[in-house]
Amino acid sequence: MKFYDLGIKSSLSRGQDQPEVMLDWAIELGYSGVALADFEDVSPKALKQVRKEYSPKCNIFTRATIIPKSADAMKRSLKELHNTVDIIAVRSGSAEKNIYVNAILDKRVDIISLSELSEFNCLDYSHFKMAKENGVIIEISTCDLILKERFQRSKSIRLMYKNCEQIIRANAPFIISSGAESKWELRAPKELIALAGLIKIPEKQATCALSNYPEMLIQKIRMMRDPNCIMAGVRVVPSEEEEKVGDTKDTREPEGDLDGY
Amino acid sequence: MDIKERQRYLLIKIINEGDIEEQQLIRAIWRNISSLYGEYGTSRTGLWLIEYEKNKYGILRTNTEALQMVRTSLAVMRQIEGNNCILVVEGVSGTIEALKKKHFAKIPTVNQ
Repeated sequence: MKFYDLGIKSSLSRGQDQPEVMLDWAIELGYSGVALADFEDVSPKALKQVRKEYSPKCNIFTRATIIPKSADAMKRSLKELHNTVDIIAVRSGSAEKNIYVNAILDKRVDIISLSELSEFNCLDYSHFKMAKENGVIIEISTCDLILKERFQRSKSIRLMYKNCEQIIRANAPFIISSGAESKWELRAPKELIALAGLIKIPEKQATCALSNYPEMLIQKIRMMRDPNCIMAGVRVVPSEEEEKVGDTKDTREPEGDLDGY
Repeated sequence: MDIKERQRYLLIKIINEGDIEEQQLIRAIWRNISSLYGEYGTSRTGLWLIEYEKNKYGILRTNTEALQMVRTSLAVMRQIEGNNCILVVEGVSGTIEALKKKHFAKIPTVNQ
């Protein structure tokens, strides 16, 4: 089974460690793919060499997390980032429901990210149902469970538990990410599954959240990268005549080359 | 009549900064479980460090019922005596022999 952590940060943005260090550790912990969430302001070109180097061992995706102040600001950011990064996630950063509703309805948004306490408070069953219908994935970040202690952690567990219960009831797709900002905050997939148990996510669903749902998202990304793809679910298929023309062209080209010789 | 508790053995790989002594590891694990599940929860784990190879691996024993609790508390562990640390559960088994046979290969530094 392949596991993915689609929310780690490197020194390209707020993280502490170089992308290479984070990738080495992610591979050691058993991940087949990671998304580096650094590309709100940084160009994905910065990662080109690293991507080449690590491509056989680990799939690397670029991700931008937008924290807009209003729905209009979100649309502006989406327009800028849509064709430059692989994954676009939206966080409200507050208890602002309007931003989330707009994000769920926007086809350019891949992930709705829930990582802070205030964010866990603002969505309910109807939003998760809407996310499911629009193919948007909910992200649950476990960084609060790892980094916080005592009262703060128990508060996080309670809020996350309440949210997760509704996500599971709505049957909405969700992913679990570590939200790691340094190599010491990364956790192995099995450890994240154990942590998910703390917020009452059954083991089977937690495994899906680290494997099946991220794969679903990756397939969507690959489909969108396909030049024949017009929009999600719509793809240009060459007609039989075009294919035949293509075939004859293919057979003629080598002949032309041979004539040259 | 006493019912014998069923045990599980966990092989944990230790990834850390600096040196970790056996006592430091035990204290840190107990402190973490106690902080997450409280004294009552901790009492139900029956946790014991069976084997420890400095800075490489450890074998923990726990009750079958408390296995998930132990895994979770190992996952939230970040530091031991101020040094960054990650404990990765490499395998779980019902006997130490089976655990070593199946999972020791995952720790390259361990000599079988």
